Amino acid sequence: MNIQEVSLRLRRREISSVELVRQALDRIERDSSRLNSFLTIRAEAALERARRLDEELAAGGARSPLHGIPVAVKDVFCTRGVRTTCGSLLFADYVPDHDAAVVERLEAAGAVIVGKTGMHELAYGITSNNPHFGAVRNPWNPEHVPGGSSGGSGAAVAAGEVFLAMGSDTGGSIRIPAAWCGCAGLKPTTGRVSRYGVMPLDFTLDHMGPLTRSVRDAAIGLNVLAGHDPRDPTSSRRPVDDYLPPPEVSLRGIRIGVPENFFFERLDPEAAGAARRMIELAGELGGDLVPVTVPDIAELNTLARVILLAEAAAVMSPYLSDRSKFGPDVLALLDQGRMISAADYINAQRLRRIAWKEFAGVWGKADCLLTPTTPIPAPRIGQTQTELGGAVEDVRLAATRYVRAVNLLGLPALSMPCGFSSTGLPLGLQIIGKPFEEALILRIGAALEDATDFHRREPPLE
Amino acid sequence: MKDFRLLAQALDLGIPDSERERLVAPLEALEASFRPLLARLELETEPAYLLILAEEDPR
Repeated sequence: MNIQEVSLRLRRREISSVELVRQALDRIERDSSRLNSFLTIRAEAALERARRLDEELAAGGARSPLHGIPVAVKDVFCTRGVRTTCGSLLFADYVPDHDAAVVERLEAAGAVIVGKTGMHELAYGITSNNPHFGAVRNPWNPEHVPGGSSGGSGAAVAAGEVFLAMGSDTGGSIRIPAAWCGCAGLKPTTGRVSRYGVMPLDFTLDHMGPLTRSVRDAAIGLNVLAGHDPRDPTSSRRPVDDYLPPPEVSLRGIRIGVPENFFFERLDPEAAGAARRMIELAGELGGDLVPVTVPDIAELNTLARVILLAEAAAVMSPYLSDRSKFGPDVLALLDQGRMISAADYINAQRLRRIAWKEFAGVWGKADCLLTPTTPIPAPRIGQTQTELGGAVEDVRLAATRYVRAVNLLGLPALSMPCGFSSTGLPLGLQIIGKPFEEALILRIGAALEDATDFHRREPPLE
Repeated sequence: MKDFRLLAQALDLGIPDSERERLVAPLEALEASFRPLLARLELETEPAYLLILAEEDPR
């Protein structure tokens, strides 16, 4: 079931929020040793809240389609009175005195937060193989990573533990786990969803968004999450849309941009084939397929990496006196960041302005871009290199190759399931849109989802 | 090309010798891809620390 279906059943009194929350807690317990998707579980508080929401529903009505629905938030979102670790020993005992804006909005909408999901240490990596809290595992094959940094959120949604889990995305950290776990993941436009109360990795590139079982569920999530927040200096005052696509969606008249360069180079043939088939499907559904040459994405990735290395090192520099508190991969990145000069950082930000202007030219030709989300399916836990096109490549750099530049440009992007590898691992399609065009990319995603069944398949849980 | 080994030493960042070596290759690769991009900068190009998408979000 997805959020739309279960919300209807709640309103018809065919099921209660208490029953849904109990089911979620049972599944989390069932999967805990196999997947390790949660760092903190709020069983009693969630059940008590579900009881109140059931009473509220009986007395009046639903606050939103999320009323009474069990959800989770990555352990990067501050929760008042509840430990928020950021997947780090530094914050192992940190109990915030405030809620993140995202938590406030979910709770105001009637969602029930059952716990905090596991993640890559400090949200700085793509495996969620956490040296302090254990590796999060992929529900499709627990010997493989779920992606990251929001790996616990991807695993929890894919395993059917919760209907929605919040993630953060600095260089693909929502879209990569969505692709590798076989669910939908939405990184909104810069400023669309408040970052207030989220432990930062990078001030320029951080974005917050939902991971869900379907594209329409991601739209329901964004309807709750989007909006201005004066506590976040990047928050947009632009009015929000209704993001939920209608039941019948046509792609007629939509210019579907098909990249002619970069996005189909050096990738697993199965990942390429799955994305190509979805592009063909978009054409069959009425979309106008438009070949597009995009600006040099490798250059944009370079700028994003310079900015991320420098900003993350700045954020963490007060804590680096005790190196024993960091895992080796994160520590290496923080050390690299401290070697970036101030002049190089500023020049990367200057080049970012040029990049944004150049990339705007793409939108004169197309309304969106369809690309693979990642060049590879989920690697094995502990795997650090992959071979693509005859060349050996660092797994982290390969995984972020198609997603990182989107953060630099501030664009909205959706990852949705588009097939499976011959080894049974999910593959993702990325739909990139113009700034604040979340409604359009969700509409395109819904049309493709309605014509396929990848999102309805369930991992083989034991 | 910058000498990142010497730079790490000179900056006195408390990075042990054994860990310093592993920083060099990724930084050299990044430097090699980043340095040529600087030629694209014009004197007046402003940084974009906060990307306010001005055309879409006038304020």
